[in-house]
Amino acid sequence: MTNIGGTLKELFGGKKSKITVIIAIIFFVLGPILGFTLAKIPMQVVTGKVVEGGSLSNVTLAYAFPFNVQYEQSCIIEFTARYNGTPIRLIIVGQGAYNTGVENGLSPDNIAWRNFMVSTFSRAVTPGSSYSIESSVVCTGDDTFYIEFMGDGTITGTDRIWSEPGSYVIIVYVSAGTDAGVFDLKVYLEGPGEIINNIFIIIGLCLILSLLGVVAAILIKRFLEV
Amino acid sequence: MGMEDTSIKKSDLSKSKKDNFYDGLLKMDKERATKFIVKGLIIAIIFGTIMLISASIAAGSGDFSNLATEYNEQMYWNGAYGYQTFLQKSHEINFVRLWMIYQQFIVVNISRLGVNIGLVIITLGFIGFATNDNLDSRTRLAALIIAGVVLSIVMFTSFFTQINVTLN
Repeated sequence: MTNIGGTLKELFGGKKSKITVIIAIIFFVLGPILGFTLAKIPMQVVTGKVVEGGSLSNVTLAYAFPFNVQYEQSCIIEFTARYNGTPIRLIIVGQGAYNTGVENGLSPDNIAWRNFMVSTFSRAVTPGSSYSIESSVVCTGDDTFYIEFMGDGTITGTDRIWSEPGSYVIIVYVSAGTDAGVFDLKVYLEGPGEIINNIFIIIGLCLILSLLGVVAAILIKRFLEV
Repeated sequence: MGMEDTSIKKSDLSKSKKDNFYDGLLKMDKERATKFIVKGLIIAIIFGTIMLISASIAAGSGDFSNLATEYNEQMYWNGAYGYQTFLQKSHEINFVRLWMIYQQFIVVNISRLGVNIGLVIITLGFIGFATNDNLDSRTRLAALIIAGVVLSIVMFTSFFTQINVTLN
Protein backbone atom coordinates (compact mmCIF):
# COMPACT_ATOMS: atom_id res chain seq x y z
CA MET A 1 0.00 0.00 0.00
CA THR A 2 2.83 2.35 0.89
CA ASN A 3 4.44 1.64 -2.46
CA ILE A 4 1.21 2.35 -4.33
CA GLY A 5 0.71 5.56 -2.34
CA GLY A 6 4.30 6.53 -2.97
CA THR A 7 4.00 5.78 -6.66
CA LEU A 8 0.80 7.79 -7.02
CA LYS A 9 2.32 10.71 -5.10
CA GLU A 10 5.37 10.50 -7.36
CA LEU A 11 3.22 10.42 -10.51
CA PHE A 12 0.56 13.00 -9.58
CA GLY A 13 2.54 15.11 -7.12
CA GLY A 14 4.91 16.60 -9.72
CA LYS A 15 4.88 20.27 -10.64
CA LYS A 16 3.79 19.59 -14.23
CA SER A 17 0.90 17.38 -13.07
CA LYS A 18 -0.32 20.02 -10.62
CA ILE A 19 -0.14 22.75 -13.26
CA THR A 20 -2.06 20.53 -15.73
CA VAL A 21 -4.80 19.84 -13.17
CA ILE A 22 -5.05 23.53 -12.21
CA ILE A 23 -5.28 24.60 -15.89
CA ALA A 24 -7.94 21.91 -16.50
CA ILE A 25 -9.97 23.15 -13.50
CA ILE A 26 -9.68 26.74 -14.80
CA PHE A 27 -11.03 25.58 -18.18
CA PHE A 28 -13.88 23.66 -16.49
CA VAL A 29 -14.86 26.73 -14.43
CA LEU A 30 -14.39 29.33 -17.18
CA GLY A 31 -16.30 27.30 -19.80
CA PRO A 32 -19.81 27.60 -18.30
CA ILE A 33 -19.16 31.19 -17.10
CA LEU A 34 -18.07 32.39 -20.55
CA GLY A 35 -20.75 30.22 -22.16
CA PHE A 36 -23.48 31.88 -20.10
CA THR A 37 -22.03 35.38 -20.51
CA LEU A 38 -21.57 35.13 -24.27
CA ALA A 39 -24.79 33.21 -25.04
CA LYS A 40 -26.57 36.47 -25.85
CA ILE A 41 -24.65 39.57 -26.90
CA PRO A 42 -26.65 42.69 -26.09
CA MET A 43 -26.85 45.05 -29.08
CA GLN A 44 -29.49 47.53 -28.04
CA VAL A 45 -31.28 48.22 -24.76
CA VAL A 46 -33.93 50.95 -24.93
CA THR A 47 -36.09 51.84 -21.94
CA GLY A 48 -39.03 54.27 -21.96
CA LYS A 49 -38.52 55.21 -25.60
CA VAL A 50 -41.22 57.48 -27.08
CA VAL A 51 -42.44 56.77 -30.61
CA GLU A 52 -44.28 59.54 -32.44
CA GLY A 53 -47.97 59.31 -33.29
CA GLY A 54 -47.43 60.10 -36.98
CA SER A 55 -45.15 57.12 -37.44
CA LEU A 56 -48.01 55.10 -38.94
CA SER A 57 -48.09 57.32 -42.02
CA ASN A 58 -44.33 57.79 -42.47
CA VAL A 59 -41.60 55.29 -41.63
CA THR A 60 -39.05 58.08 -41.05
CA LEU A 61 -40.97 58.99 -37.88
CA ALA A 62 -40.86 55.41 -36.57
CA TYR A 63 -38.14 54.01 -34.33
CA ALA A 64 -35.66 51.94 -36.36
CA PHE A 65 -32.76 49.73 -35.31
CA PRO A 66 -30.60 48.12 -38.02
CA PHE A 67 -28.72 44.87 -37.41
CA ASN A 68 -27.07 41.96 -39.25
CA VAL A 69 -27.53 38.23 -38.82
CA GLN A 70 -25.09 35.57 -39.96
CA TYR A 71 -25.87 32.04 -41.13
CA GLU A 72 -27.65 30.07 -38.37
CA GLN A 73 -27.53 33.07 -36.03
CA SER A 74 -30.60 34.25 -34.13
CA CYS A 75 -31.54 37.78 -33.17
CA ILE A 76 -33.46 37.78 -29.90
CA ILE A 77 -35.81 40.66 -29.18
CA GLU A 78 -37.71 41.44 -25.98
CA PHE A 79 -40.39 44.01 -26.70
CA THR A 80 -42.65 45.64 -24.13
CA ALA A 81 -45.03 48.59 -24.46
CA ARG A 82 -46.17 50.78 -21.59
CA TYR A 83 -49.76 51.05 -22.63
CA ASN A 84 -51.30 54.48 -22.53
CA GLY A 85 -54.16 53.82 -24.94
CA THR A 86 -51.90 53.74 -28.01
CA PRO A 87 -51.19 50.37 -29.64
CA ILE A 88 -47.56 49.97 -30.71
CA ARG A 89 -46.45 47.59 -33.45
CA LEU A 90 -43.04 45.95 -34.00
CA ILE A 91 -42.05 44.68 -37.41
CA ILE A 92 -38.78 43.52 -39.00
CA VAL A 93 -37.98 44.42 -42.60
CA GLY A 94 -35.02 44.01 -44.94
CA GLN A 95 -32.49 46.84 -45.11
CA GLY A 96 -33.21 47.43 -48.82
CA ALA A 97 -36.98 47.59 -48.28
CA TYR A 98 -36.46 49.97 -45.38
CA ASN A 99 -34.23 52.28 -47.46
CA THR A 100 -36.86 52.36 -50.21
CA GLY A 101 -39.56 53.12 -47.63
CA VAL A 102 -37.52 55.99 -46.19
CA GLU A 103 -36.75 57.44 -49.63
CA ASN A 104 -40.43 57.37 -50.62
CA GLY A 105 -41.83 58.28 -47.18
CA LEU A 106 -43.93 55.10 -47.08
CA SER A 107 -46.05 53.88 -44.21
CA PRO A 108 -44.43 50.96 -42.33
CA ASP A 109 -47.59 49.01 -43.20
CA ASN A 110 -46.57 49.20 -46.88
CA ILE A 111 -43.05 47.76 -46.44
CA ALA A 112 -42.57 43.98 -46.87
CA TRP A 113 -42.53 42.42 -43.38
CA ARG A 114 -40.38 39.48 -42.44
CA ASN A 115 -41.68 36.60 -40.32
CA PHE A 116 -40.30 35.75 -36.89
CA MET A 117 -41.03 33.37 -34.03
CA VAL A 118 -42.82 34.43 -30.85
CA SER A 119 -42.52 32.14 -27.82
CA THR A 120 -45.09 32.03 -25.04
CA PHE A 121 -43.67 30.27 -22.02
CA SER A 122 -46.64 28.30 -20.73
CA ARG A 123 -46.15 25.15 -18.66
CA ALA A 124 -49.75 24.20 -19.41
CA VAL A 125 -48.76 23.03 -22.90
CA THR A 126 -45.75 21.39 -24.49
CA PRO A 127 -43.05 23.69 -25.94
CA GLY A 128 -44.17 22.65 -29.42
CA SER A 129 -47.62 24.15 -28.76
CA SER A 130 -46.46 27.39 -27.19
CA TYR A 131 -45.03 29.36 -30.07
CA SER A 132 -46.29 31.11 -33.19
CA ILE A 133 -44.89 32.61 -36.37
CA GLU A 134 -45.80 36.25 -36.80
CA SER A 135 -44.97 39.05 -39.20
CA SER A 136 -45.73 41.70 -36.56
CA VAL A 137 -46.64 41.99 -32.90
CA VAL A 138 -48.88 44.71 -31.49
CA CYS A 139 -48.86 45.76 -27.87
CA THR A 140 -52.44 46.68 -27.08
CA GLY A 141 -51.81 46.33 -23.38
CA ASP A 142 -48.70 46.07 -21.27
CA ASP A 143 -47.66 43.03 -23.26
CA THR A 144 -44.19 41.56 -23.52
CA PHE A 145 -43.08 39.58 -26.55
CA TYR A 146 -40.09 37.22 -26.78
CA ILE A 147 -39.06 37.15 -30.42
CA GLU A 148 -36.49 35.06 -32.31
CA PHE A 149 -35.55 36.19 -35.79
CA MET A 150 -33.20 34.45 -38.25
CA GLY A 151 -34.11 36.07 -41.57
CA ASP A 152 -37.56 34.81 -42.46
CA GLY A 153 -40.22 32.18 -41.77
CA THR A 154 -43.59 30.83 -42.81
CA ILE A 155 -46.92 29.71 -41.41
CA THR A 156 -47.60 27.53 -44.44
CA GLY A 157 -47.34 23.86 -43.47
CA THR A 158 -45.18 23.56 -40.36
CA ASP A 159 -44.75 26.89 -38.61
CA ARG A 160 -41.06 27.64 -38.78
CA ILE A 161 -38.35 30.22 -39.22
CA TRP A 162 -35.11 29.74 -41.13
CA SER A 163 -31.75 31.31 -41.58
CA GLU A 164 -31.34 34.06 -44.18
CA PRO A 165 -28.14 35.98 -43.46
CA GLY A 166 -28.34 39.68 -44.21
CA SER A 167 -29.09 43.20 -42.98
CA TYR A 168 -32.44 43.90 -41.38
CA VAL A 169 -34.19 46.73 -39.53
CA ILE A 170 -36.47 46.53 -36.51
CA ILE A 171 -39.23 49.14 -36.83
CA VAL A 172 -41.45 50.20 -33.93
CA TYR A 173 -44.38 52.53 -34.66
CA VAL A 174 -47.82 53.50 -33.48
CA SER A 175 -50.25 51.24 -35.30
CA ALA A 176 -53.44 53.29 -34.75
CA GLY A 177 -54.28 56.84 -33.73
CA THR A 178 -52.11 59.92 -33.53
CA ASP A 179 -50.91 59.82 -29.91
CA ALA A 180 -47.31 58.97 -29.07
CA GLY A 181 -46.49 55.63 -27.41
CA VAL A 182 -43.82 54.41 -24.98
CA PHE A 183 -41.99 51.14 -25.25
CA ASP A 184 -38.99 49.14 -24.00
CA LEU A 185 -36.81 47.15 -26.39
CA LYS A 186 -33.92 44.77 -25.81
CA VAL A 187 -32.07 43.33 -28.81
CA TYR A 188 -29.54 40.51 -28.45
CA LEU A 189 -27.56 38.54 -30.99
CA GLU A 190 -26.92 34.88 -30.39
CA GLY A 191 -23.27 34.72 -29.33
CA PRO A 192 -20.60 32.03 -29.44
CA GLY A 193 -21.25 31.11 -25.77
CA GLU A 194 -22.17 27.48 -26.32
CA ILE A 195 -19.28 26.84 -28.71
CA ILE A 196 -16.82 28.44 -26.26
CA ASN A 197 -18.30 26.41 -23.39
CA ASN A 198 -17.92 23.15 -25.36
CA ILE A 199 -14.37 24.02 -26.48
CA PHE A 200 -13.28 24.87 -22.91
CA ILE A 201 -14.77 21.66 -21.52
CA ILE A 202 -13.18 19.57 -24.29
CA ILE A 203 -9.76 21.21 -23.64
CA GLY A 204 -10.16 20.55 -19.88
CA LEU A 205 -11.10 16.92 -20.52
CA CYS A 206 -8.19 16.48 -22.96
CA LEU A 207 -5.75 17.83 -20.35
CA ILE A 208 -7.05 15.45 -17.66
CA LEU A 209 -7.13 12.50 -20.06
CA SER A 210 -3.62 13.22 -21.34
CA LEU A 211 -2.36 13.39 -17.74
CA LEU A 212 -4.09 10.11 -16.92
CA GLY A 213 -2.76 8.63 -20.17
CA VAL A 214 0.83 9.56 -19.32
CA VAL A 215 0.44 8.18 -15.78
CA ALA A 216 -1.15 4.98 -17.12
CA ALA A 217 1.66 4.59 -19.68
CA ILE A 218 4.30 4.98 -16.95
CA LEU A 219 2.49 2.51 -14.69
CA ILE A 220 2.06 -0.05 -17.50
CA LYS A 221 5.71 0.34 -18.50
CA ARG A 222 6.84 -0.27 -14.91
CA PHE A 223 4.37 -3.09 -14.52
CA LEU A 224 5.46 -4.90 -17.66
CA GLU A 225 9.15 -4.73 -16.74
CA VAL A 226 9.94 -8.31 -15.79
CA MET B 1 34.18 -9.13 -46.84
CA GLY B 2 34.03 -7.09 -43.66
CA MET B 3 30.52 -5.86 -44.53
CA GLU B 4 29.27 -9.44 -45.02
CA ASP B 5 30.74 -10.44 -41.67
CA THR B 6 28.90 -7.61 -39.94
CA SER B 7 25.56 -8.47 -41.61
CA ILE B 8 25.94 -12.15 -40.72
CA LYS B 9 26.71 -11.28 -37.16
CA LYS B 10 23.65 -8.98 -36.91
CA SER B 11 21.27 -11.58 -38.35
CA ASP B 12 22.76 -14.25 -36.08
CA LEU B 13 22.28 -11.95 -33.09
CA SER B 14 18.67 -11.27 -34.05
CA LYS B 15 17.95 -14.97 -34.55
CA SER B 16 19.61 -15.79 -31.25
CA LYS B 17 17.42 -13.19 -29.46
CA LYS B 18 14.25 -14.64 -31.02
CA ASP B 19 15.29 -18.19 -30.05
CA ASN B 20 15.96 -17.01 -26.50
CA PHE B 21 12.51 -15.39 -26.34
CA TYR B 22 10.66 -18.50 -27.50
CA ASP B 23 12.85 -20.77 -25.37
CA GLY B 24 12.20 -18.49 -22.43
CA LEU B 25 8.46 -18.91 -22.84
CA LEU B 26 8.72 -22.67 -22.45
CA LYS B 27 11.42 -22.63 -19.81
CA MET B 28 9.83 -20.13 -17.46
CA ASP B 29 10.55 -20.25 -13.77
CA LYS B 30 7.64 -20.23 -11.32
CA GLU B 31 8.04 -16.57 -10.43
CA ARG B 32 7.99 -15.38 -14.06
CA ALA B 33 4.98 -17.57 -14.89
CA THR B 34 3.07 -16.13 -11.90
CA LYS B 35 3.95 -12.61 -13.06
CA PHE B 36 2.60 -13.43 -16.52
CA ILE B 37 -0.69 -14.68 -15.07
CA VAL B 38 -1.14 -11.69 -12.74
CA LYS B 39 -0.25 -9.18 -15.46
CA GLY B 40 -2.53 -10.88 -17.96
CA LEU B 41 -5.35 -10.85 -15.44
CA ILE B 42 -4.89 -7.16 -14.69
CA ILE B 43 -4.76 -6.26 -18.40
CA ALA B 44 -7.88 -8.35 -19.08
CA ILE B 45 -9.69 -6.83 -16.08
CA ILE B 46 -8.78 -3.25 -17.10
CA PHE B 47 -9.96 -3.71 -20.68
CA GLY B 48 -13.00 -5.72 -19.54
CA THR B 49 -13.95 -2.88 -17.17
CA ILE B 50 -13.56 -0.35 -20.00
CA MET B 51 -15.83 -2.57 -22.11
CA LEU B 52 -18.48 -2.69 -19.36
CA ILE B 53 -18.29 1.08 -18.79
CA SER B 54 -18.74 1.66 -22.51
CA ALA B 55 -21.74 -0.70 -22.62
CA SER B 56 -23.18 1.01 -19.55
CA ILE B 57 -22.85 4.45 -21.20
CA ALA B 58 -24.62 3.11 -24.31
CA ALA B 59 -27.37 1.54 -22.19
CA GLY B 60 -27.84 4.80 -20.27
CA SER B 61 -28.18 6.94 -23.39
CA GLY B 62 -31.98 6.87 -23.19
CA ASP B 63 -31.98 8.01 -19.55
CA PHE B 64 -29.52 10.78 -20.41
CA SER B 65 -31.77 11.87 -23.26
CA ASN B 66 -34.85 11.94 -20.98
CA LEU B 67 -33.03 13.99 -18.33
CA ALA B 68 -31.52 16.44 -20.84
CA THR B 69 -34.88 16.87 -22.60
CA GLU B 70 -36.61 17.59 -19.29
CA TYR B 71 -33.90 20.15 -18.43
CA ASN B 72 -34.30 21.68 -21.89
CA GLU B 73 -38.06 22.02 -21.35
CA GLN B 74 -37.56 23.53 -17.90
CA MET B 75 -35.13 26.10 -19.31
CA TYR B 76 -37.60 26.94 -22.09
CA TRP B 77 -40.51 27.34 -19.68
CA ASN B 78 -38.29 29.48 -17.43
CA GLY B 79 -37.85 31.83 -20.39
CA ALA B 80 -34.08 31.26 -20.64
CA TYR B 81 -34.43 30.85 -24.40
CA GLY B 82 -37.08 30.67 -27.11
CA TYR B 83 -38.56 27.80 -29.07
CA GLN B 84 -36.01 27.98 -31.90
CA THR B 85 -33.14 27.57 -29.42
CA PHE B 86 -35.17 24.83 -27.70
CA LEU B 87 -35.33 22.97 -31.03
CA GLN B 88 -31.60 23.48 -31.60
CA LYS B 89 -30.80 22.05 -28.16
CA SER B 90 -33.17 19.11 -28.75
CA HIS B 91 -31.15 18.19 -31.84
CA GLU B 92 -27.90 18.50 -29.86
CA ILE B 93 -29.29 16.18 -27.15
CA ASN B 94 -30.21 13.62 -29.81
CA PHE B 95 -26.74 13.94 -31.36
CA VAL B 96 -25.06 13.24 -27.99
CA ARG B 97 -27.44 10.30 -27.38
CA LEU B 98 -26.48 8.75 -30.73
CA TRP B 99 -22.77 9.22 -29.95
CA MET B 100 -23.27 7.53 -26.56
CA ILE B 101 -24.62 4.50 -28.43
CA TYR B 102 -22.07 4.59 -31.25
CA GLN B 103 -18.96 4.87 -29.00
CA GLN B 104 -19.67 1.31 -27.92
CA PHE B 105 -18.68 -0.02 -31.35
CA ILE B 106 -15.29 1.70 -31.19
CA VAL B 107 -14.44 1.19 -27.51
CA VAL B 108 -15.67 -2.40 -27.26
CA ASN B 109 -13.69 -3.52 -30.30
CA ILE B 110 -10.47 -1.95 -28.98
CA SER B 111 -11.15 -3.39 -25.51
CA ARG B 112 -11.81 -6.84 -26.97
CA LEU B 113 -8.31 -6.75 -28.45
CA GLY B 114 -6.90 -5.77 -25.05
CA VAL B 115 -8.79 -8.54 -23.27
CA ASN B 116 -7.52 -11.10 -25.79
CA ILE B 117 -3.93 -9.89 -25.32
CA GLY B 118 -4.41 -10.24 -21.55
CA LEU B 119 -5.77 -13.76 -22.00
CA VAL B 120 -2.84 -14.72 -24.24
CA ILE B 121 -0.43 -13.53 -21.52
CA ILE B 122 -2.37 -15.64 -18.96
CA THR B 123 -2.13 -18.63 -21.31
CA LEU B 124 1.64 -18.15 -21.60
CA GLY B 125 1.86 -18.02 -17.79
CA PHE B 126 0.00 -21.33 -17.43
CA ILE B 127 2.09 -22.90 -20.20
CA GLY B 128 5.09 -21.75 -18.17
CA PHE B 129 3.73 -23.69 -15.17
CA ALA B 130 2.94 -26.73 -17.34
CA THR B 131 6.50 -26.88 -18.69
CA ASN B 132 8.17 -26.31 -15.33
CA ASP B 133 10.05 -29.48 -14.35
CA ASN B 134 10.23 -28.44 -10.72
CA LEU B 135 6.46 -28.75 -10.20
CA ASP B 136 4.58 -31.98 -9.58
CA SER B 137 2.87 -33.64 -12.52
CA ARG B 138 -0.72 -32.94 -11.31
CA THR B 139 -0.10 -29.23 -10.98
CA ARG B 140 1.49 -29.19 -14.44
CA LEU B 141 -1.47 -31.08 -15.92
CA ALA B 142 -3.93 -28.69 -14.27
CA ALA B 143 -1.95 -25.72 -15.60
CA LEU B 144 -1.95 -27.21 -19.08
CA ILE B 145 -5.73 -27.78 -18.98
CA ILE B 146 -6.33 -24.19 -17.77
CA ALA B 147 -4.01 -22.88 -20.52
CA GLY B 148 -6.02 -24.87 -23.06
CA VAL B 149 -9.34 -23.55 -21.72
CA VAL B 150 -8.11 -19.92 -21.76
CA LEU B 151 -6.71 -20.38 -25.27
CA SER B 152 -10.05 -21.82 -26.40
CA ILE B 153 -11.81 -18.74 -24.97
CA VAL B 154 -9.39 -16.48 -26.86
CA MET B 155 -10.00 -18.41 -30.08
CA PHE B 156 -13.77 -18.39 -29.69
CA THR B 157 -13.92 -14.68 -28.83
CA SER B 158 -11.56 -13.91 -31.72
CA PHE B 159 -13.35 -15.92 -34.38
CA PHE B 160 -16.96 -16.06 -33.20
CA THR B 161 -17.40 -12.65 -31.51
CA GLN B 162 -18.69 -14.02 -28.21
CA ILE B 163 -19.52 -17.14 -26.24
CA ASN B 164 -23.06 -17.72 -25.04
CA VAL B 165 -23.74 -20.10 -22.19
CA THR B 166 -27.38 -21.08 -21.77
CA LEU B 167 -28.49 -22.82 -18.59
CA ASN B 168 -31.83 -24.63 -18.55
